[in-house]
Parts: sequence; structure tokens; C-alpha cells
Amino acid sequence: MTTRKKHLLPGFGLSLGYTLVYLSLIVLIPLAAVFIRTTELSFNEFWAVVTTPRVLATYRLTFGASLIAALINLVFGLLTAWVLVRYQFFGKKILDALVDFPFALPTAVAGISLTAIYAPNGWLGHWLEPHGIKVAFTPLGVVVALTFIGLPFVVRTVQPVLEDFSAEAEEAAASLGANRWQTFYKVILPAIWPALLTGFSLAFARAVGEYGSVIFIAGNMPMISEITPLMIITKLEQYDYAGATAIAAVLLVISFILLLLINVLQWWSSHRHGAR
Amino acid sequence: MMHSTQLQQYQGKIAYKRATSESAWVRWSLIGLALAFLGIFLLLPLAAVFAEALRKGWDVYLAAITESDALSAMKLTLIASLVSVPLNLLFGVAAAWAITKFDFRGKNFLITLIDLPFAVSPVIAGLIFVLIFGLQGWFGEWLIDHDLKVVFAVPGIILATIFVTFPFVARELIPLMQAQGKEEEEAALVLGASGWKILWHVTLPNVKWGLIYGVILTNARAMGEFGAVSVVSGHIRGMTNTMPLHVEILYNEYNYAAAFAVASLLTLLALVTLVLKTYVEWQAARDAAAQEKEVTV
Amino acid sequence: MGITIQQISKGFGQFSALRDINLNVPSGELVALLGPSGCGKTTLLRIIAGLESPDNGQVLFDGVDTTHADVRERQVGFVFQHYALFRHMTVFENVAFGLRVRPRETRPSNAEIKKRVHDLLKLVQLDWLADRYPPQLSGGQRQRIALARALAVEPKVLLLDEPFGALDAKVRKDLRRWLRRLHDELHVTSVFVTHDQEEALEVADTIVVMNHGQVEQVGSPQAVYDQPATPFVYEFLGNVNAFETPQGKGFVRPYEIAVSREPGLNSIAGALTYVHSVGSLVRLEIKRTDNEQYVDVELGREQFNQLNFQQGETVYLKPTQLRVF
Repeated sequence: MTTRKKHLLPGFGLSLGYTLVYLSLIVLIPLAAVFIRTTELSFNEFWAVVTTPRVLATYRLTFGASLIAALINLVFGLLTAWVLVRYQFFGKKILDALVDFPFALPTAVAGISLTAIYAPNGWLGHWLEPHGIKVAFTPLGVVVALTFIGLPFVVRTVQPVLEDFSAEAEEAAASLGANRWQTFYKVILPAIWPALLTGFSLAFARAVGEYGSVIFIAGNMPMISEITPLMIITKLEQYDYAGATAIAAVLLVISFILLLLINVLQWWSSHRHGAR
Repeated sequence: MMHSTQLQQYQGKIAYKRATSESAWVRWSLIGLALAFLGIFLLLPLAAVFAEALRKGWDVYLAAITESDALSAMKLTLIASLVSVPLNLLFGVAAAWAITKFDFRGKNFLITLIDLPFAVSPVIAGLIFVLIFGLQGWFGEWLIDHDLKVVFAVPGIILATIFVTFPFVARELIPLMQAQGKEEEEAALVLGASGWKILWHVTLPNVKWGLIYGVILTNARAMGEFGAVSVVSGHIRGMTNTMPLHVEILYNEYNYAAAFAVASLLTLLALVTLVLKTYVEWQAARDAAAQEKEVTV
Repeated sequence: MGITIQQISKGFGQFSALRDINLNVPSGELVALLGPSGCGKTTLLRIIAGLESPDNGQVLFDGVDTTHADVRERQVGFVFQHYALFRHMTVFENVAFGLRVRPRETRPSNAEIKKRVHDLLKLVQLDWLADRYPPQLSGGQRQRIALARALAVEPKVLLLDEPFGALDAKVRKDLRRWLRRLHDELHVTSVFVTHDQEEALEVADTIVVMNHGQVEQVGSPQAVYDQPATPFVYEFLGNVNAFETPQGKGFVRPYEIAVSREPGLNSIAGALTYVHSVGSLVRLEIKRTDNEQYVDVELGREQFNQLNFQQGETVYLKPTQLRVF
């Protein structure tokens, strides 16, 4: 009976042990610090810190702008994935590779570059400004930055599913008399829906925590264009560790819930995919 | 008889073409719309970096990237990457080995924990190390007593970088090694190979491209990280400034040309990353295709 | 080297893969573990190899308890179902692997390795493929390379998991004759797993028929085919007709039935519904009048031509041999 659980390949203890120790030291213990330090505040103090009007305004902007940016990426990400998978055109391969550019570009560079484009004297800014559209240094700028950094997610989750999608199902729909649009929303869309949702939540989750690309273009005016991660830094710079930690705890909990949601979505999507 | 079936097949082919593709008008509208979106959100920011960097000419550009603070920022960025990439590589291989070659309880939970740093805001990634090693942190007093500095110093920057790049290699390797199964390792074992030999001669060569891919992504993120490093750095010029932080400082001093000059180097790094990444994907796809092809003699 | 299996049991969670298996493989024999998928035959093979450990029982090699010995110490050669060739190594390096990973003291010199590998490649008649990579080989070639790799370490026991499973019918037939000849040449105790009765009957000295984690019968091909010990063995090896008799269920092979136009004592009436006459045997499909079940009958072509049955005709059947369980 003692040999029952014996592992065949060597190195189980060493590799798992190393994994757990490293994971604990770098990730788990440091993250726990946020929650442990938060308990230094009483609940009332905690509540007061995380619900001041200025902090509440940052939540509204962070989540609102993240949501809008993720929605933009949902639509245009699907469009981009569709065009890249289905059509042939000049420069397609280069564009395909460039989709990952926002992943690879340091966020600070993205931030100053977008600011340069949308500033009142920038390439796009000087076209938009006369029409009363201000992008840089307004909440709209935040949406632009978050759209940029979230761009690859929907494209990269939908693309493989669209590639694998069997031509037979489409042909079957067509043979049964469906037109292109009906085929798309009755046959193709349901099949890529889990992937779309996963990409959407990944883009949203990334946007909620984003800092570097936003702070340059946002203008960071309290109550108007200040995001929650910046609020944490502001508190830190005022040596208000407790305040910074409390807000971080709120943001962390929300991020964890999003991560959980994404895992459930991916599980759902892989099961649907596998069952097909 | 023969002739009419051929005709039917031919007609069927035309009908199929029509049934599962859009009209040219729709097709080109969709392509146009996608190109406009990618143009505004990808190409424009890319072009803007270089246009702004060279706005005041080559001399200013060269001066900005060869100035001593810029050079020390490059050095620090390189150090942070040189330390965090190997550490996370080692971790990724160990984690993937444990997770894909053995069955144990809580495996899926462990995978989720490894993914955690992806879900955490970079700002919080910096904050946690301040909470532990900062002046008011858990080890703050002990560090002062021993005259050691973590936060607002190089070790803090390295720690934050390790944290934000933590999952990349593991994430690439785990699905790959899962898909390859254990049979080759078992075969090596029956032939008498030790664990290290199996890892080195059998497992790693099989996941070579995934491994390189993970390293490329880790390196790109390590060199470009801003938020987390910004919190722990203290922004001491020439001392604790990485390249992205140096860009921020120059920018905030309204020295736009210099800021964009340094930024252009980071942008080039991003482009090189994309090229390497595409190359690795291409190689991996080629290997996979070669494996599926079966020659019968 | 002889292998003795004593009271081996193995479960995976709720599922019991092997129950109290006892088996003896004499030295130098070629033994087939035969059974339907999920019968536990591969698990048993992996336990012999040391790739799996049993919950209970012992594995003895030449009387020595090896149950807890490491795979690497057992000196077994294992040929995996999908060959598990190392994709990134040449054929030569694949075969040399087992020699190269030996500790320095017992590792042969490079020249020796080279000679050994080439000898083995010659043995499997593939020395011209030494510099190819596994993906460039056909299924049958991969199979033989996998065998050469297993033999390189001079195993005391050769274990093969569905060695011909992944091959097409023609290659399969050639390879199994070749394996038989190779075994006659090398005389290494060999155990192979298969679900194909024809394969087991043609290649093995001894067949172990397994079902639901238990051994149903052990014997020579002749013995298990002609004197099946259980209804399962009867049905699994070859075609068989089942009859309800007052004593229990009776089994008759299709060639053990006499057919005539005249009713006889205890004969069964039926309609000839189909005549399949390709090859030396003619297969008749007869629908019984009493219970509408179908009976398969095989006749020699000459006999059939003499009797000249017509489709739709009423005929009378009588088993010449009936085994009742």
C-alpha cells in the first residue's frame, strides 16, 4: 500500500517544492501583506478611506473607462480577427504580427506617444479640437489609452477559434437557406461567443489595473480624470501607507473576482469547444 | 452521364463560393474598417514615437540617448532583466515539470495562483514590496539596522520586475508540455536515463520554441515595466532609474525630444520582440507541420 | 528470464483495473496479453515494466521480487504503443540513447556505441535510415526503430504495448511475421499486448486472454481457440453461434454445423437468407424459424457446390460439436 502513490518520473518533490517556495516568496506572501496591513485599520476607518468622494470618482472613471474600452475592443477586436482570418490583403502578415504591439510596448512609451497624438497640437488633436472634441487630459483620453493596451486580447482569443471553425457548419447553414448575416449571428457568433467574452474580460481586467499608459494622457485632475491606481500612488507619496493599502485591497479583491470569472469563462469555452 | 455529374460538381463549387463568402463590397468595407482601427490605434502611436524623437534632428536624438543618466538607466534596465529572466525561467521549468508530469490534488488551483501576477495592477505589485521592505514595512527597521536598502534601491526594482514577469515562462510551457504527454519521458526512463538527463535531453528540446517564446515575453515585459518599478524606485536619477522611468522624468521636465528619443529605443525593443516572436511562432508551426507529415515507404 | 506475477491488483480511483492476477511467463517465450480495450492488459504490462506500481501483489523476475524495483534497474525493453521516439533526435541517436545515458563507468565508448547501434539497425533492416528524424519515417519504420531502441540496452525482458496497433493492415501482417522471426532469433522473453485475436493466434507461443481485469484463460493458441475455458473466450476468439440448450448456453463455431435439406433428430429449421461466397469458404446466414435469430455457418466451397443451396430455401441445421457452459 505504501507504494501506491509512488510517482514514476523523478523530481516531483524538488520541482513542486521549488515551485511552492518561489511562488510563496515572490507572490503569495507579498500579496498577503496588502490584506494583513489593511487590518491595521478598523472597519470604519477602512470604509471612510475607500469611500471618500475623490476615491469614489476614481472608481467611476477606472471602471467606466475600462468598460467602454473593453467594449470598443470587443467590437473592433472581433472585426480585426475576422478580417485577419478570412480575407487576403496586402500587408496582412505584418498587421497580424503588429496586433501584439501593445503587449510589447512599454506602457510609459504608449502613454507619451498617445498624448503627443491627441494633444491639442498633435496629429489627431489639432483635427479634433476645432470640433470641440478634447481627448488628451480628459476622461476620453483614458478610454483611448485603455483601448490601446487592451487591443490584442479579443483579437488573440477569437482568432484561433475562428480559424478552427469548420467550413462545413457554414456550408450547412447556407444549404439550409440562411443568408450570410443569418449564418454569422446564428451559427458563427454562438461558437465564438465564449472566446469573445474571455477576450473582453481579459481586456477589462488589464484596463482596471493599468497605470503607465494612462497617467500621461489623463491629466490627472482630481474628481475628473484620476484613476484608482494613481490614487494609490498619490497616497503613498503623502506617506499615507494605510490609505494606499486600503485602496489597493479594494482593487485587488476586484481583480481576483475578475480572474475567477475569466477562469470560469475559459473553462466553459474549452468545454464547449471540446464538446463540439 | 459522366458529363452531367461533372457539371453539377462544378456548379456546386460556384454555389459554395457564393454561400460562404461575402460580397466584395462588404468584404472591402470590413477590411477598410479594421485597417482604420489598427491604423489609428497601432500604426499612429508607433509612428509618433519616431517622429517626436527626431523632431529636433539627429544631434539632439544622439545626445539624448548617449547622455550619462540615459546610459545608467539602460544599464539598470539590463540588470533587472538579466536577473529576473533566468529566475523566472528556472521557476517556469520547475512548475511546468511538477504540473504536467505528475498528478496531485489542487493542481488547477496552483495554476490559478501562478497566474495571479497577471491580474494584479502594476502599482500594487510595487506597493507590496514597499509594505514589506519599506521604512514602515515588516522588515523596514531590521533593514535599516543592517544598513541594507531594498525599496528605493536596485533590489526593490528587481523584485518588482520578477513579480510582474512571474507567470510568462510557466504559462507558455504548461499547455505545451501537457499536450506532449509523458510517453517520451517514460521511454527515456525505461532506457535508464536519470531525471536530469530526461529533462535536458528529452523534455526541454521538445519544448524549445515555447521556452524561447516565454523568455522573449518575459524580457520584453521586464525591460518595459513602468508602474511597479515606479513605486519602488524613488526616481533617483542615474541611480534607480530604469529606461521607462527615465522617459517619464524627461517628459515631466518638458524635455520631449529626449523623452521620445529614449522611448524610441524601447519601441525598437518592442519591434524586435515582435519580430522574434513571429519567427519563433513560424519555426514552431514548421516543426509541428513536419511532425504531422508521414512518409510511407 | 522468466516472469512470475503473483496476486497483482490495481485500481484507479473507483475503477478496478486488475483483480488478483496470477501468471507465469517462462523464459524465452513470446506471450500475448489479449483482450478487449479496458480489460487491464496494458496496465499489467506497465506493472511488469515498473511504469505503474500495483496496489497489491508481486512481480518476480527469475524468482527475485522486483515489485518495488525502479524501472531503470529492471533491464526491461519497452516498446510504446505510439513508439515514443524522441522527435528531435535522429534515428541513430534514438537507438543510442539508452547507452549514452549510462553512468560514465559502464558507458560504452563512442566507437562501441556506433557499432552496436548499426548492428541493431541492421537487425531491424533500417541502417540506411540512421540520419533521419522520426517524423520522416513511416509507421512501420518507426515501429522497428522503437524496437531497436528497446533492444539496445540488452533487456532481459521485452515488453510491447499494442505493437502493431497504429499500422495499416498490410504492414501489420508483414511486421508480425518479422517480429516472430526476430524472437526466434533472439529468444528474449517477450510479452506483448493486443486486442487483435488474429495477431495473438499467429505470433504468440502462449496467449493470456483477459477480461474485466481478470485472466480468463492461459494456453497455446491452439488450446485457447479449440478449448475455450469460458463463454467470453469463445466469443472473443473467432466467430461463434450461441444456442439456448436445456443445460445452459451452448457455443458452436460456424464450421461445426451440418446443413441439410432434410430435417433430422433435434435439427433446427431456418431460412437461408444470405450466401457469401468469396474465397475458399462459403458463409451462409440462416434465420431460425423458431426464434428468428441468425446463425452463421461455414462450408467448404466444394461441399457447398455439391449441395447447391439457393437463397430463400429452408434448411436444417445440426451442430456437430457443442460446448455448454
